[in-house]
Amino acid sequence: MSESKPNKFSRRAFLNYAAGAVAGGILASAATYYLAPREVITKTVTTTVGTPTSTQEAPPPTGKTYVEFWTELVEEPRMEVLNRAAEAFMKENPDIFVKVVPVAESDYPAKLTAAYIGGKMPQVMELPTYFAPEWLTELDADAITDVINEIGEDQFVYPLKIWQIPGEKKWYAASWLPWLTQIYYRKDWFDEVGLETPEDVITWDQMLNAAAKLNKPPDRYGVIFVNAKEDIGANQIYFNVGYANGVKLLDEDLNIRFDDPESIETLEYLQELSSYTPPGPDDSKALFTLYPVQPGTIGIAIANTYMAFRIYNTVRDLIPKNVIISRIKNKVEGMFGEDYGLAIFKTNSTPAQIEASKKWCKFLLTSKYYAELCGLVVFGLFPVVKSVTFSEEYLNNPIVRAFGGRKAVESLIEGFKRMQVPAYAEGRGIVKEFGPPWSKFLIAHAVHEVCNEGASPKETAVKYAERMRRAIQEMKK
Amino acid sequence: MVKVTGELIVFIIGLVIVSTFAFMPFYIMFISSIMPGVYQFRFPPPLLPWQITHENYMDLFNPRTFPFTRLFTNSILLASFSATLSTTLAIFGAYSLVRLPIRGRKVISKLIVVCYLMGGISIALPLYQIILTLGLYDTLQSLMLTYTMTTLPLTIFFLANFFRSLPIEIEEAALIDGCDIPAVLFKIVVPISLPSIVSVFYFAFVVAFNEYLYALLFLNTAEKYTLPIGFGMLYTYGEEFSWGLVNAAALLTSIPIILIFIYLEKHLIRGLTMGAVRG
Amino acid sequence: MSFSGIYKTTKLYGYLFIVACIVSILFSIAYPYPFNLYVSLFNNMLRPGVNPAFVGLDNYVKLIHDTDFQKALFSSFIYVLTTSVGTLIIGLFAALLFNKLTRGKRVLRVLILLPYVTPLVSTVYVWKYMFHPVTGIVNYVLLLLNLIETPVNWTMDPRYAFTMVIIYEIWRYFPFSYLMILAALQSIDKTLYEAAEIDGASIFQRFIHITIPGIWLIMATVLLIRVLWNFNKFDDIYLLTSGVVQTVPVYAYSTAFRAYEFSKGASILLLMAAITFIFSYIYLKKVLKW
Repeated sequence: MSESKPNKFSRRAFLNYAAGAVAGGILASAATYYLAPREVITKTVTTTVGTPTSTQEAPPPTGKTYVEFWTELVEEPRMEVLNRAAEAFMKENPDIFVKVVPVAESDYPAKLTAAYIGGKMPQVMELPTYFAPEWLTELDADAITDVINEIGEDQFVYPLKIWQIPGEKKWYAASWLPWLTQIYYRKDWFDEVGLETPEDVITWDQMLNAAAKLNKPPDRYGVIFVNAKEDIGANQIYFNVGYANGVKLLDEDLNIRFDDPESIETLEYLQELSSYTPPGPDDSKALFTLYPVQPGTIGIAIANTYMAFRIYNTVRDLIPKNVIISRIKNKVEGMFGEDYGLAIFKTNSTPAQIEASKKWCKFLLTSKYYAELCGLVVFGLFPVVKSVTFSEEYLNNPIVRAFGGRKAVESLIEGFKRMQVPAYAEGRGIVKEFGPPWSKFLIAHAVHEVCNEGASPKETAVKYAERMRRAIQEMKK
Repeated sequence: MVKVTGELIVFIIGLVIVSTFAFMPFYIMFISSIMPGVYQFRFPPPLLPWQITHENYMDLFNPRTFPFTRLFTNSILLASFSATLSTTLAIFGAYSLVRLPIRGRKVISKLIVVCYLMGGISIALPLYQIILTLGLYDTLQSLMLTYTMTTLPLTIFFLANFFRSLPIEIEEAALIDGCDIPAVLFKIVVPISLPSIVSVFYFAFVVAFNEYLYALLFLNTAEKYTLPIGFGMLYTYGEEFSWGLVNAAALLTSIPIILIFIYLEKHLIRGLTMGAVRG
Repeated sequence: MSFSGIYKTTKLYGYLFIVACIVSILFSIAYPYPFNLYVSLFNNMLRPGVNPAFVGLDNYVKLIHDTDFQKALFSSFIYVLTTSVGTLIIGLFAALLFNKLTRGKRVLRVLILLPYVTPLVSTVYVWKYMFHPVTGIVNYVLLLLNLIETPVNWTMDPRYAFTMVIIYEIWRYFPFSYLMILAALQSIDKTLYEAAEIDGASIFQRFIHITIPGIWLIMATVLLIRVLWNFNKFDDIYLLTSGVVQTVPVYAYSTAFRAYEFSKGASILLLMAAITFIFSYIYLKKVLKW
């Protein structure tokens, strides 16, 4: 039965050894992980951390106030900075215990909902505006307002409009890690074909013109943006360019305005632009891959602040040939962005925990760890408190310097000042009605149909506006 | 030596097609994992590596980038314990279901099959509540309990099927000789049913190892996360994303499991297919 | 067969041993289903800041008219059909092919079983890599062979994503049916074949009259297992396409966790359970004649 050859290992013996070797290998690597001092290597900074003392592993000690902090920064380097920040904070405040819990953003709904049902809501959480509307009733706006006031409202690099409760000097959350749409284009190619190369603001016409001129398939395409059906980037692209045309999803009376003339114009514009994109729908991964990593393929990318860091890490010599613009203009100026704000939940928090949460939030916003964290993903994670943004540590970051140092930072701030988010309705603040159109990807579907299926912008706008209205009505029932 | 007939040619072609179909993804996994990051996105995609590097594997074990060892140990330990628990309980449960006179035996058998049909996402939230009430939130024990409970219906069903097909005379003889039931179980039944028990263990192990939804909902501490969650996070690394890293992790995760499979293969196949043949 | 009447103490052991079964039944059915039922009878259940309202069976009625649900149901149906039949056919093909193999049987078996045995997470990501619209090898090969003209968007376009998921399922689960069918094939009495050959039957006739009846029961069982499994399958599809492909379980998840409509999600899950139950009952009675 067994295939053992004389004088040689039988198969069974071999497998035994193999299994033993693998097990040994795993144990050995586990041992090295737990015992050796860890060397902390980021792509830009190298520091050494001593023997790991994980504060997060032990159960929360009794007698201390427990603050649970959910972050969507699950990448190890970022987690590492946050863990160190927590340790430093706990040294300063020995009566507080902070637990940093990484949750992938796509898992946010499932986990938070389960936590809500189970009465295990976190105390502090990084809350993006698209996720916030559903949870507004659970937020402690007073607490976070105190934090903002303590830091000083004017200490933020841009006016804190998005999170503000309309009519009051109160906010739902404090801006913490915003990102912004940015246009990246190849200056050298623009020069080649004799196009003007704007530095601060770019207009719709300039982009369309450039895309058309640069488009030479199949080697080179004019522009790339996300237009895949179920990609959240397709939800966003509508606003990326649309805000420069004055679109809004909801008006003051919370009516859908997706079929307004400005909106139809935006869809028309996207349709025109899409004739200069690579064939087939494009998703976020394609966007971040094609432009930087395969230089030579795309002329303009309608991307966001996360692209800068990627370019630095993959094709650094692209930087001098590349221009970043943080302001778009057509009829008006407006930029789409997203803000991951620090929010304090009151659902399962005692007053003592809320006080502790306030201290933690203030610490996060003003400590040097903020600069260090943002230094890992330059421009993608942007510090919004002046003392950090203009600090030595941040401005001397190699990536910041590579892209232009202080000048680049200020230009980006100008863009942030014009930032809008779809969840925000003028005069109403962040509203729930934004939920159904966004989470059902109705905007993305409209963009997809217009860009990839050649549908008529006007009909598509009307059709989807209707669907959005129906979806909102169903939600209200 | 071997006659080259039409039959042989058909066979060889079939062999090539089937084995390529089965094996191709693994080959790609391997190639991708030994290439440096920049080459992952080159077009045309490579069938042979452009450049070989071990950087992906280094990154994998560097806890700065991805806590692979921690996730892997968590998953393996969790899977082993749940599988052991499930198999042990199943041996008892299946044996008593088949041999011992209990009222409502038939009903329980049928119910067990029904249990198996349910599961997964349907019971995620109620299960979450149960775990909370038991005070097991954010522990690996909660997952162990859940995996045991969700694999138990099938393990019992499978073992029961097998036990039913054993001739009862041997056990009766042992009973008459003076053994009590547990002795019969351990000294006679278990050794005979080893293939089935092994396959049942393997099945429970694989379920626990692969599971994603419950692990996501029940765990709240980074140190306790299991491999599927870790993979999910790896994939959403917006900017530091590297296919090479993901594929290297995928390969490293598969190899031990595959080795275990090869090791147990003989028993496993016998166990799985014995039930099949007897219908 | 049981030891009834021989020893009284066996009854005690029996009850003790059965406890595990009961507990798992409680876990899987006794609490979750009434809970789901309860939630589905309300609206806006488990939503922060909103009060639930009792609506009775309204959720179910609305569900039947819900176009998204109908689409999901249709997708599920196609999905289950294609993958079950696909795995069966390919498994059958492989089993027939390798039935007569004597040397290298174990190696081949291990090779073929690799897709089934490898952890789910590993296979899902390499699949996404292979089917990546821009850099994936599948598109490259298809373009090379001139089977398509422009790169196909496997991961984002719902139609192609669906195909990708189906191919994945067939790849992953055909070893299972291969194994089962092979076992059954090898238990068919060889002398039957010899007798038929002597009687002058062709290969085709031998196949129809000897092979098929021998493995028919196994194939039907495998089909049932695959159908039930695939209908409820969530992890695979969700990990592969993150919600682009909406079969019923994925739709339930999106409704419950992404759109916060738990009541609707719960009613979908109950409906799923009912369908599963009815199908298996009919199938077991009619086809397998339990």
